[in-house]
Amino acid sequence: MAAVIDSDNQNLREIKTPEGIPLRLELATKGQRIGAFLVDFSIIIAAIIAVLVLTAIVVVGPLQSSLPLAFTMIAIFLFRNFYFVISELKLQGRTLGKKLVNTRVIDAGGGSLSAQQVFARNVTREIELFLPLIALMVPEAVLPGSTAWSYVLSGAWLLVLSIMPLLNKNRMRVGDFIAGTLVVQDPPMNLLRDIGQSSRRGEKAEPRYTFTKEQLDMYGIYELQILEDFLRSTTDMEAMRRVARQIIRKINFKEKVRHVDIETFLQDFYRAQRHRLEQKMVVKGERVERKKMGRLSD
Amino acid sequence: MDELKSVRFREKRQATWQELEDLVVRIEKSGLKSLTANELSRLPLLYRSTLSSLSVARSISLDKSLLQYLENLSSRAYFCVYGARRKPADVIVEFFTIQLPQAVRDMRWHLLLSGALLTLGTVIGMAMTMDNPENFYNFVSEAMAQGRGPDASTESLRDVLFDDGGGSGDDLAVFSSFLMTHNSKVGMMCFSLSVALGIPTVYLLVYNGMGLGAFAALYEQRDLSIEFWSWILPHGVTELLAVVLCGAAGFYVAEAIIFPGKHGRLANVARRGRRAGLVVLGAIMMFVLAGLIEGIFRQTVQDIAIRYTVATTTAVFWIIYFGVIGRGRKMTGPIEAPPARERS
Repeated sequence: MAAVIDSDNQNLREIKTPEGIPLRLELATKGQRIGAFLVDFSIIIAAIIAVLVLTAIVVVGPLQSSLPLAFTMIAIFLFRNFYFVISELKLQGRTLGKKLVNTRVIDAGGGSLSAQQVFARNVTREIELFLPLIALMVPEAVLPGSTAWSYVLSGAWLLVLSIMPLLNKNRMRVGDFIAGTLVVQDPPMNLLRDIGQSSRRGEKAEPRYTFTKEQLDMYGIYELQILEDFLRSTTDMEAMRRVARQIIRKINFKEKVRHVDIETFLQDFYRAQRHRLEQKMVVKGERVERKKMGRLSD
Repeated sequence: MDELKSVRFREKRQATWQELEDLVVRIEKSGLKSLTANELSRLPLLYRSTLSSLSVARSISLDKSLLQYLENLSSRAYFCVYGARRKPADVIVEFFTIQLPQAVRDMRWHLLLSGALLTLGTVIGMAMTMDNPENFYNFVSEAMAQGRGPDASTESLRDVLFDDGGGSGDDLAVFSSFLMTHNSKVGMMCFSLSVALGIPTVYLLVYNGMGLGAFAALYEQRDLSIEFWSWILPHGVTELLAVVLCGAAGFYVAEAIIFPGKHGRLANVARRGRRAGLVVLGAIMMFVLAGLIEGIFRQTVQDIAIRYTVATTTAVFWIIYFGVIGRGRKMTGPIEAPPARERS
């Protein structure tokens, strides 16, 4: 029985680690994919321009030969195709662009990202991006045949392939589809203070306010987590008073809570509520276990 | 009421998580090599312990921030532990000696289909151009023709075949690099467009065959066939073989899309896609190789007999390489495929 992390996040994907325990990762957003790509693309363009300028200087200059141009063309071609492959291999599934937006490539099956996968997913970039670009600028260099009909057909085809990530829910490019990879977000790492801990360090103090089971059953997990977020983020006494009043009214709390004790009340309520819900979780889990073993049916 | 069980759980294990977090941060900044041997051996232990903490926490704790933290920490540790682990040199060696030849052998029927289509295109192109020389322009674009065609004189056509350097040598170098990149593009398109059930692949193979056939017809009509093929084949064997490989790779993937087999379409396509990608990588290298041969031989070797010898040698070489190398050896693949068994 798993606890709710974020029940309404459509971007979460579960992958099975080799240890058998599933990890929940969030897919990279459209914005992140586009952003990372623009960065990488700019780097490639800048490099190409630099190389061309360099070659022009050499060609126009003393050498007077077009041989360097040949090498340049090959170098450009290799570079624009292998930039992604080499980056993703060396940087653990990331390129400079991906590092900037904090995403990375992973194996959709949960295993190790292999070199084959990195290559397969990038070999299609030529047709997803570079060919359509060149086709826009110099159609004859790319599209076979000379009839307008074949232009339109090829053009439409390239267009569909390019926008593939928008057409499926895993945001897979053609390359991702062939290689079996996903692009996910790099999760941040910061552990926040546990609200459930006693505010007085070291002492196992008795809570100032106590609640009955019936009172605690008025709320569920969802409200608990909202309360946690609230307690962690707010210092506004007025807001706390309002929330406390709402709770008191809903659970029909009899004891009077003084203004100075509002925060304590909320924290005690949080801890009691969490204790109660966690207990219920364990009991329900045990019930599920027992059912599985075919014994008591509740 | 004493401490929540979940709070005690967290207090007990927090040191472990902190240790793992520190390691992960360092790995992400400077790589695995920045760790000491001792730390390296701690990593998998800490990772598994944290992962099991996550599993436990999921069932006993409602501390949202804790769950999110463990989720994130486990994920980042997972990336570190299961990131690229093998030395690049080993990967490269294994690629050439085992993976590439084996992948090609697995595709033998697709190779046959691919080769047949290319041959078909060539025959059609040749027949149609022999019939009506003007058809040449239907099959060969301006850039490829470079001034050659039915309107060119026999003398100029012959000259191209036996160019011995001089002013146009450099231009030929540019042209051959253009060819290299053009053919690689064609090759990659065959593979990438395989998602379209192999139909573009068929089209590309036939169309390129027709271009070749048109050229062959052109030279045949001027009685320059022997010279023409002696000019084409030294690098052409490698290059055409690479085109056929790309076509085969495309069909290999297309087949997985059309006939899912027992593991489900997506998984099947992914597995085949990876193997096919290897073949395309090999083909690209073959294109570069062909370009080099073309560049070196075009000017230095004029003798027809030598040219044919080179052509035959390359043919034999590829037959041996793809037919024999790496037979019976096992691949050490990615984690998901148990090494000694999976043959994909």
